[in-house]
Amino acid sequence: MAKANGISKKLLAKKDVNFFAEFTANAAKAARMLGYGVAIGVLVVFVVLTFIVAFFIRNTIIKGQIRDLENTLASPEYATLEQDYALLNEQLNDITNQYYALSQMRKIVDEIDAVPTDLPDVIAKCIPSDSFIQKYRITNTTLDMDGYSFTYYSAVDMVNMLNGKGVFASRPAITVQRIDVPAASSPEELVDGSTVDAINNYYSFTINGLLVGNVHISITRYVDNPDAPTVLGGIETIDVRAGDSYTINDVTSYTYAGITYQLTRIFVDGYQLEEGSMNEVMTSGQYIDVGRGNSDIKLYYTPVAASQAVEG
Amino acid sequence: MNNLSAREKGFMYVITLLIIVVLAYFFGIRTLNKKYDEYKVELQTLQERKAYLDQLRENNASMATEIEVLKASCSDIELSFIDNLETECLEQYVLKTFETAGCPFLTSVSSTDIGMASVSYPDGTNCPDSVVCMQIAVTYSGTDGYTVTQYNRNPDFTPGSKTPVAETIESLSEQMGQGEYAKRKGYDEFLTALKKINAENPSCIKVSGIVAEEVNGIMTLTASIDFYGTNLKNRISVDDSHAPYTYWCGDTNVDTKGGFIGFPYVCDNENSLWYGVVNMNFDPGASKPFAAYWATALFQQQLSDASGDIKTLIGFEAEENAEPTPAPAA
Repeated sequence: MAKANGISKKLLAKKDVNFFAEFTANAAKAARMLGYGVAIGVLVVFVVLTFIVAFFIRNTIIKGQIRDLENTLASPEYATLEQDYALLNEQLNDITNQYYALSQMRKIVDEIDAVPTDLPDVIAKCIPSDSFIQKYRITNTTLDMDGYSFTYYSAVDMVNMLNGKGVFASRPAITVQRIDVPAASSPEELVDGSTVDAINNYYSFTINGLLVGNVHISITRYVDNPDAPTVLGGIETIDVRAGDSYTINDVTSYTYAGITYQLTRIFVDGYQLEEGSMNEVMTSGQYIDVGRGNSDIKLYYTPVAASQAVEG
Repeated sequence: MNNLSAREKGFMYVITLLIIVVLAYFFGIRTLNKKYDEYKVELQTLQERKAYLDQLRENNASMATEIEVLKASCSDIELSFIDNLETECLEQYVLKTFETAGCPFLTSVSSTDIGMASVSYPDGTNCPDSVVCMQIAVTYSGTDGYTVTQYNRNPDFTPGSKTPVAETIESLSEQMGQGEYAKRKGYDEFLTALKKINAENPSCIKVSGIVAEEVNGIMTLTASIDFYGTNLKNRISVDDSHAPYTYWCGDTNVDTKGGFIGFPYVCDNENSLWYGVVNMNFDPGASKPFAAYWATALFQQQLSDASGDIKTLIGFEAEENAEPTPAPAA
């Protein structure tokens, strides 16, 4: 194709020739680029400012939350809680000690059984007709009787009847002894039957035995801390008829003053419960034993973790 | 600036933008973020503290409840004991109970302070509070089913009795072994009284011993009754109970006009129920430290001359109408 000054003649023939087209195109491009640049710059600045504003608002919000919380914590509702806790804790310790001491006093008295005042009636129904009781002495644990009978079976008969009524806790001591003829008796008195000795030989007897009574099981709960023995409540005392079994329920955990404790050890009359028995207690949640005699059970607990954190 | 090419200007622009971004990051965003982190930590700390205090408040409420429960329990235990052990109230109660049950023939009554085990706190230190036990021991006699009985001037044989003594004796002597005197009394009544006492307040009144013994055809009946109280330094409860053993239920308006100190040879106090009674312990030969030797000897001689009647010797004559001043109305 023929060209004039490097421009196609055909093109020259069709349009006006713009000699600055190349320059104006560059300027437009530059302007467009500048526009893009400004837009991007504005966008960037906007984004940056948005972030700054957002973060500022976020900080303002959190500061508000902090201020609200600080105000809340400074309010009378919260401000004295720790002092209240210390005061209440001290009061609780004092009253717990007082309760422990009082329950100890109650235990001392409760462990003393009264004399069974219906026992004289029971004795009266068990005296064989050939016998009489000259003296009896009843304490809260023992029964001693002195009497006389015409046969030497009467004392044992009597004890048998008393055992049938569940009077004695163990085998009583029985002594029977023939009464000798009074030295002052004359042969005439003896032969004509003017003295009882002449008609019948007779015997004195004594019976001494331990009475069936209650045994007293005292239960005390402690925080398991050998350095600072702290009691949880007072001493509970349960009365059990000697030889009967008794159960202490729900021993594995104990809640006191809002804190839940977990059982760690059991001491019975100063001896720690062995592992096997302890495992049984932990599994069943009960401590079961037989009331052989007065017993002192100490249950040791530790606070469970959640409560401990709060305590801290 | 005008000398810079478009490329250079663009570059500068980008650099400027970057600087703005970096500065905005370092002095704006990062600082704000850093602050935010600090605030977050602070907020978290405060939230934890609030949670801790909320839990503490719950604990306080639980403790306050526990304290009230313990106070009530302490109060219950305190009230389960006798607040104030007064010997005279206890003895009066015991004597009255036996008398009411039909067992009035008292041989002896005595009171003993029983030592009790000391009380300690959980840490082993001694507690100033203690259990107190007062034991009242009584011995009563049963009757023999024949002999006429008497107790507490019932019937009255004192010189001042309304019915002349001789008349009373004559009347009663005919009743020996008759009617109510023909019954052997005392044992059943004694047991009835003991059962009543044992049931009165089992937590602090306990019969601790019973002895029944026959001697010379009559029963001698002994019982020990223990009354438990406390000695509390810091008492919580107020004991306003009115059991017959906690306060005085006996006479409150006792006639004291005839009471006297030191018995003369013959009681000459007309207000006394002992008026006209000769000193039971009078021994004519006893030493009289205030007297001359010869006077003591003369006294014995004169008493002998008066047939040993001290009333004759001292010229005592009871007033015909002498009788004790009645006690003021209660």
